[in-house]
Amino acid sequence: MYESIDDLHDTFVAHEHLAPQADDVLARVDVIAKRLRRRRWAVRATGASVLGAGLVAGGIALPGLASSGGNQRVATIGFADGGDASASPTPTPSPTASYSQEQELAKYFSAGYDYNDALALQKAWNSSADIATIKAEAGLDLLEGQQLPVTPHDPNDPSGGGSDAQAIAQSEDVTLFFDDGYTYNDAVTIGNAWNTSDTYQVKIDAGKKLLAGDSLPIPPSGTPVSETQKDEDFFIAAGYDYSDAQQLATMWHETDITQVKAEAGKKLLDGETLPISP
Amino acid sequence: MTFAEFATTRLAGLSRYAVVLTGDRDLAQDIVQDVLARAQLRWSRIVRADSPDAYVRQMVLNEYLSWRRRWAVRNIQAAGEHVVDLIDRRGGSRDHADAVVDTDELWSRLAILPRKQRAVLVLRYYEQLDDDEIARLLDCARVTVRSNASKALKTLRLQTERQHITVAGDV
Repeated sequence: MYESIDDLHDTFVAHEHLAPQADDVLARVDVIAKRLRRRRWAVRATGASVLGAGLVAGGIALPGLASSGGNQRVATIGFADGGDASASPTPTPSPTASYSQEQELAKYFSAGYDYNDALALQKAWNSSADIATIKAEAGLDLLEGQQLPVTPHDPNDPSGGGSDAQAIAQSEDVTLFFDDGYTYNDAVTIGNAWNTSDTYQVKIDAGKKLLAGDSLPIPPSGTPVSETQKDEDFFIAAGYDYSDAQQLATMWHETDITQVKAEAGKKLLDGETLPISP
Repeated sequence: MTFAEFATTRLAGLSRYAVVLTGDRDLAQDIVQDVLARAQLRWSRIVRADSPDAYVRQMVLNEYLSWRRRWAVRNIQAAGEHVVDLIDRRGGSRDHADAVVDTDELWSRLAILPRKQRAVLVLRYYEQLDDDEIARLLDCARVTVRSNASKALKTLRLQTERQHITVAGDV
C-alpha cells in the first residue's frame, strides 16, 4: 500500500538524483533564449501585430513558413530584456521611451482590458501590487509591444478571459519547426511515426524537440533558414533598413552590405547596441 | 537579482522539481531549459514578482502540464522499459532489497498517472503544499485537487496490488 505520505515523499526524494546536470542545462539555456528572441523579432517584423487581442489566426510570411498548415496561431511579442532589470530604476524590458501612467492606463483600457483582467494579471504575475499598479504595468507592457498572459475579458463570455500563454508558446514552437526547414508534409510523416494524426500538435512537439536540441525522426525536406539570413532578418526586424546598413558599412569600413546587416543583426541578437539608431 | 544569479542558485532545485514531476531526466532537462530560456527573456517581469522562484516553479509546472504529446511518447516508453526492468530484477520473488525495489516500483507506477494527478501528488507530498495552495497553482477548485489525489492514490494501490498478484501467480 503506497498511499502514505512517507512512501510517496520518500519515493520522490529517492529519485531526485535523476535530475539533469546543471552544466548540461545551462549550456542550452542561452542557445534556446537566443532562438526564442530571434523568432519573436521575426514574428514582429511580419507586422502581424495582435496587441491586446492576443492571437491571430492564419499563416504569416516568415521564411520557411509558406507551406505551413494554416491553423497555427501567431502572437506578436516584444523584445524582453534578459539582463539585470534590478540595475534600472524602472525595471522594464523596453528599448523605447518611458510613458506616463495616463498613457499606460489608456493603452490598457483601449486594448479591451478591464478590472477583472487586472485581477487575473495580478494572479498570473503572482504579484501583491495594487490593481491600479497592475493596470499601469500591463499598459506599459502593451505599449512596448509585449504580450500579456491574459486575454481581454469579454463580459458576454461566461467563461471569462483566460491565459493564452500556452498558446503563445505553442505558436513559437511551430515557428521553429518551419524555421528549421520542416514542412507540413514532414509534420504528417512525423505524426505517422509518432502514431498521431494531430498535425498541429506534432508541429508543436517537434518544435519543442528542436528547441531542446533533439533530433526528429526525419530530416527536413525544406531548406532551413540560414543563420546569416536570420541575422539579417533580425536587423530589419529591429527597425533598421538598407540605408542604415550603408551607414554602418562606412563606419565599419566594410563594403559587403549583406554582411553588415548580418553582423549588425547578430550584435543586436546578442544584446549589444549599434552605433546608430534605426 | 540578475537572471544569472537566479539560474545559478535555483537551477538544482528546479531540476529536482522537474524530474520529480516528469519522472524522466531528459524531459526534465528539456522543460527546465525551455522554462529558463523563456524566463530569461521575461526576466524584467519575473523579477518584479513577489517571489521569482515561485513564478519560475509555476512555469515549470505549467510546462509539464502542457507538454502533452511529447511527454506521453517518451514517458510511456520509459515507463514500459522500467516495468520490464523491475520485473527482471525481481525475478518473480520479493526477497532482495524490497525497500529499494518498492521505491523504484512506486516511481514506475507514478509514470502511468495522468499528469494532473501526478502533479497533485508531487505538490502535496514532495512540495508539501496544502490543497488550497495546490488549487491555486493548478487553477482549479480545492475539491478537484482532492479528487485528483484520491484517484491517484487509488490507482497506485490498485496497480500495486494487481502486480503483486500477477507476480505471485507467475511463481
